[in-house]
Amino acid sequence: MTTTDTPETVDSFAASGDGRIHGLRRMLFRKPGLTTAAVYGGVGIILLLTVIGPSIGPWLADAGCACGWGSEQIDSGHALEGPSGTHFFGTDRSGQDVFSRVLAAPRINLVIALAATALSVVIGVPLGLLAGYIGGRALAATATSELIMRFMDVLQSFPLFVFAVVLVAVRGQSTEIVIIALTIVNLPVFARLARAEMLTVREQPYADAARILGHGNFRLIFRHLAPNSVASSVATVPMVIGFVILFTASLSFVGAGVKPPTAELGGMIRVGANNMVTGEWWPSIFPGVALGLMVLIFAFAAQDIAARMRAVKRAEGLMSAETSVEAG
Amino acid sequence: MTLIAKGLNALLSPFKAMLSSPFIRRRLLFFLPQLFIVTIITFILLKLVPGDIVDVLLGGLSTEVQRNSLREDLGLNDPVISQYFTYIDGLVHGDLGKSFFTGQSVAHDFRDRLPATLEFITTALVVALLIMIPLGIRAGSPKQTGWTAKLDRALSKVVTFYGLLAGSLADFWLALILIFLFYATADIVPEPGGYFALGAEPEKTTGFNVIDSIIHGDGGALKSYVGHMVLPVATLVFVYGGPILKMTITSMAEIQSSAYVENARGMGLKTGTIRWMQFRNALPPIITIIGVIYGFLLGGAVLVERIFSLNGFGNYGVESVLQNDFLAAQSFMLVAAIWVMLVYLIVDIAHAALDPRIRL
Repeated sequence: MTTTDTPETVDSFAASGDGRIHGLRRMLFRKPGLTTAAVYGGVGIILLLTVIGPSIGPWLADAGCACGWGSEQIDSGHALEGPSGTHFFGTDRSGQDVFSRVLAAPRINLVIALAATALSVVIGVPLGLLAGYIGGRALAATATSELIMRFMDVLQSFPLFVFAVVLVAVRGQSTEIVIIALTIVNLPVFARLARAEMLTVREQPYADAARILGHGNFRLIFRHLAPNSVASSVATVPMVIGFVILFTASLSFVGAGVKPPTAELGGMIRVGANNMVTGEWWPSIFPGVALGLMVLIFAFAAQDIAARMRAVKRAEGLMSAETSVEAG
Repeated sequence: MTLIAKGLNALLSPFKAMLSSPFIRRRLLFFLPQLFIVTIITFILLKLVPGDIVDVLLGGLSTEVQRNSLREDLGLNDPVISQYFTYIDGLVHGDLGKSFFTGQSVAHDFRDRLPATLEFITTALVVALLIMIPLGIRAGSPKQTGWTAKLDRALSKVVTFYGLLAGSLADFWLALILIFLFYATADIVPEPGGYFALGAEPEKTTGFNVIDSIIHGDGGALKSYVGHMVLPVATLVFVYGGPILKMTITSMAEIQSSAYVENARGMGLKTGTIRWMQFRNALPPIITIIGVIYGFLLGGAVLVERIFSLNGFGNYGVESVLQNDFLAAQSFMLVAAIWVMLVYLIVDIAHAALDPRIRL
């Protein structure tokens, strides 16, 4: 809490001089603390599972411990058996090994989450930047900007879940359609954030300076304004990834997501849902725990990155931005 | 008589002031184009169905005559623009089409399901508010000194973690866990399935289960309802109370360090008094998040509805899609979207009521 007045304009000029994406870079690369390390360690484990998860079951079999099962392999004589030395997490009602399925499932969940999030960033952010840049200028431009944002409003007022189910039902159940549905669901989030930042950034003195120097709209947006308008979008990415993982699981749970027998966490919970009522807890509990952990790790990452952003915002408001960040 | 008129006037005067505010007028005016875009999207949605919609709706075993007559009924032979106007005309007259799955008019199906779902999500929201708001106030404005200070700090750590956890759990999974714990293991709640035990339903008048139970004096029905709704409500409260709690804490904490709170503390005002001042100014973002959740839940409680076999509104939407009953799905989307827009409208009016600056 400093109360000293800071000459903001001078600072903004100084900041814009030596690196336009300084804020973003500073946000992402800061000295890691213990919790930060834990969080990103968790993210690393998820990524690792995405790569090797489906091979762990078969690998255990090769290792000769009589406990390895493929994620889609059926042990028909031992359906719905509790956790044991052979099936660490038990088997579901069709005799699939819950342990190797839990390890295999993050692949599809994460691939869908990353693809959908990336697509909604790639489409949503430029739309938002455009809407923010052209809004409030010439009539036609303002109208376009308003149209984009009002469309986003309406998109957000739709019941997202059923909207996604409809898309999947109408266009056929496939991973690509699930990704597209989730992209549409998340577009408005990024468009809104990018627009809001662009609205403030475009009024900064360095924007005027660049304009006076004779830079065209294109160069102004892409070299000067855009890099300074994406911080909050980037900061939102982990949260959206977590949300998409949950959403995909929900879609699969009603049978409108990933098709069985592919191991997917929501689909696995669905398979075990009826067993929960009769007391066989393992087919649903384990994938649910995995799902919760995955999303929780991304929630922690989101919190961490939000804290960094606040720190950067505060630092940018100070005269000696560089040193105050170092001091932490 | 005049007394009643006076009373009414006093009650309505804030709302009259609202109506004269430019912000609210603009906001109300804005509602119409929104409605227009929503109908366009729901209209296009039906056109996205691949192949002949008539084939999809009637299924494989239909005769040419049936198909032609349905095509005629739906006006599919007309140009697209006039199809849209027929659609709007139907909507204005309360005609939402016919459900091929239930065999009823969609409007009839909605009358059947909406009240019970509204009752369900409203109960969950009210319970969530009663728990989360006081917790959030306490955790967001911890005492600085005294023996409760430590307690407050611990509380704020616990609830912050709970906020993260609630956002990370799938509501359908939590519902299953609760069933496993309280039905399959402890056996202290009735078997999940429906709003009532079989045969305990009250006579249907309003469609609101509690109200029906009460006006027919059916104590058994009310008891059965409460037993059946404990777990579904608890699920929604746990998962969707999280964001409300988080927002309350952040909003309170932001104001905690403001000059007027410091000043009030310096003047020696009681913590309770300061918290109340703080809370009033912390309200706008809290109201926004409550609105977002309430708007979402009408169609978004669907997974919880499915697990507890509640024949609710959201479940009707998903079921109609899965049964290829796209006319019903279309109307479901429309009603759910209008619900969200209405809730957001009320949120904006509430913001204007709280903060005179917005009313300009």
